[in-house]
Amino acid sequence: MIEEAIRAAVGVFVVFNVVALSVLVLVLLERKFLGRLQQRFGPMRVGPHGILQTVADALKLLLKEDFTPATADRRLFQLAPFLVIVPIFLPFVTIPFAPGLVVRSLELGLLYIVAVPVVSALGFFLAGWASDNKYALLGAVRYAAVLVSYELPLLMGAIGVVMVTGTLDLVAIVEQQAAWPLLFAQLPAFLLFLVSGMAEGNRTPFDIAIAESEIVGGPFVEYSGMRWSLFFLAEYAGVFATAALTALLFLGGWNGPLLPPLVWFLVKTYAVIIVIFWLRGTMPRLRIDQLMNLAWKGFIPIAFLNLVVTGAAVLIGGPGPGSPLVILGGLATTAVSLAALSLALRPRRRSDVRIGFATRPGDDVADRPPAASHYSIP
Amino acid sequence: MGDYVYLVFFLFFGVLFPLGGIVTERFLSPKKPDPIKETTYECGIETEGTTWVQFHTRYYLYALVFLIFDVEAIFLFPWAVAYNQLALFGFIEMMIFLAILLVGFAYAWRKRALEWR
Amino acid sequence: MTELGPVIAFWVLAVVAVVAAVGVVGSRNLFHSAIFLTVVFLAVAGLYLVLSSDFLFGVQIMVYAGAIAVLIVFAVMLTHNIQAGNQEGRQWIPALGLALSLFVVMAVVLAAGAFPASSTMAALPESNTTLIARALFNPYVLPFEIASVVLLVAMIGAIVIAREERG
Repeated sequence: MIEEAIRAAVGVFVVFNVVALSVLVLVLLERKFLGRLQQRFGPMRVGPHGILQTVADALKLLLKEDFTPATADRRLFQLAPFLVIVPIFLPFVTIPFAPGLVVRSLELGLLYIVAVPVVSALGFFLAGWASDNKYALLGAVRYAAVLVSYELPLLMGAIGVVMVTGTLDLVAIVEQQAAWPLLFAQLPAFLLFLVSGMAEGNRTPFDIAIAESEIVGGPFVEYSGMRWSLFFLAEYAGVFATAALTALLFLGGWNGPLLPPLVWFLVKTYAVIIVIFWLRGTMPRLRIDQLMNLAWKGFIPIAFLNLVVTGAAVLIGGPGPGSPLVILGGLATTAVSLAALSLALRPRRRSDVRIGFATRPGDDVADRPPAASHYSIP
Repeated sequence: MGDYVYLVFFLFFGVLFPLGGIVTERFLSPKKPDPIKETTYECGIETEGTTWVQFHTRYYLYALVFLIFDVEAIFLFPWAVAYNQLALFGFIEMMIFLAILLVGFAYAWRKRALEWR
Repeated sequence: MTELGPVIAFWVLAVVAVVAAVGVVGSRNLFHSAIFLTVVFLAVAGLYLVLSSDFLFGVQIMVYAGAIAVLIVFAVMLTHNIQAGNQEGRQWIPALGLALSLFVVMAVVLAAGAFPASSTMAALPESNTTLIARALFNPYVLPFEIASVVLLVAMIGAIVIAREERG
């Protein structure tokens, strides 16, 4: 018992520092990388090539006044940041970084990791509600709508992985990928998992909930100082967790030649992170109706198809990431899905270059005259 | 059972670290309250009417359909873990389960409950 | 289960659950009630962990603290005048009677009943999840398939009720 308590305490300490350090690195990396994409340098002033910029920002935030708007629901307003950050922090108990480098393998494994962060949605909602600010409330409602839509593709992607490997234990899942990463056998699940993870983590182009240019930051408009930085910390810890999970589930985790396992894990995780930043730099933000339609009419049918095909392939050709039939099934599903998606997403008229599912005229939000009801616009 | 010592620790410190940050800030940061600073959306145009307006039912519909499929996904997890032991019988059983739910999904689609409007 | 840890955990979680449950009925603000309800869900999830039912913990977090909490919050957003909150009414009198009688029934059952399971649950040979899968797909096939029909009916009913007429 005592031994476990010490191990747990050390684990908490190490994990917290790894997460905090990763956030510092990620913020700088994102700013530098986005800068390069836009032919700028990014931060350059603090330290050589601006590498101390995020440290300076963190210090600045610590010195800012933390105030609560007078009309806000005071207690809920102050509680909300905790409800956002704690559920993002909890999954790190059982995310392995390398063989033996995991605080504790839980029996529930993957299910625990995908279930717990959902609670942070409630934290966002609390923040938006308690702020007594329309932008904040709109952001909160949108976030809940996005979560509700993208949680299913995320879960079903994870289920595809479990079907092939037959276990919820992340260490076992990675060990099975020694020869073949699951990327090939579960290509549709990989795409669903990564995109849904980005949507749930409020990353551009799926960040309709915090869209700075229209609702000025969404649920946390009214926050300042340390409480605001908790939301910020949660967002980047979420990016790190999503990337790490993608690397572990689909890219073979720490498996790789020559380099030590931990290095391979970090290389793969950061590769996924760069892809996430890259998408932010190059894609325009989706409108909310596009975002919802993409999930319900695109991703969820694809997720169903993937489950059925994987099920049949595992049944006939045997399980495992290297099973030829499963790989064939995964590739076929991807091809069919992408073809169907691009058909559904084609522009309807030559003059119409908007992205949107082809529907009857009048269905599209932009086609209708403004509603004269008392409902607020989403 | 020993597993959950770790969860308790993570929960406890997960709250303690942010709290530590906020307490530190309280000592370091200025505290100059001011009625204008504490208005809602201080630097923008004030919004009309109350914040807590009635929202559209479409949000509720999405949440309802999500709830049904969430329960279904939960059933899929044990099935996926034991898939190799269940063999053909398990596959057929789950396909029946999914087919029945897909009828519901098709119905929702047909009735345009999945339409954002 | 003679260890001190689970006993402490049980009492902490039980107290949290009961206090939050009182908050649900006692709060004037609908949104506060919804938040209290979520706290109850989370505390119950914790109780499942104390009882070594890992899988149920996952279900409770995902379905209740995730889906149901969002559903209830949306339901609150649907109400006409949220700020007015819970109105005064006389309904608390029959509700109190009902709650008390339910409490008496449960107390009697708990006092009279024997729980042989508590002595045999010391160690589970396998993971929870696998056991549940085997139970679902062998002895309980029919209830499992019927569950999907129930879900289907729930979904269709929900769409019929919630869909706007002009759609």
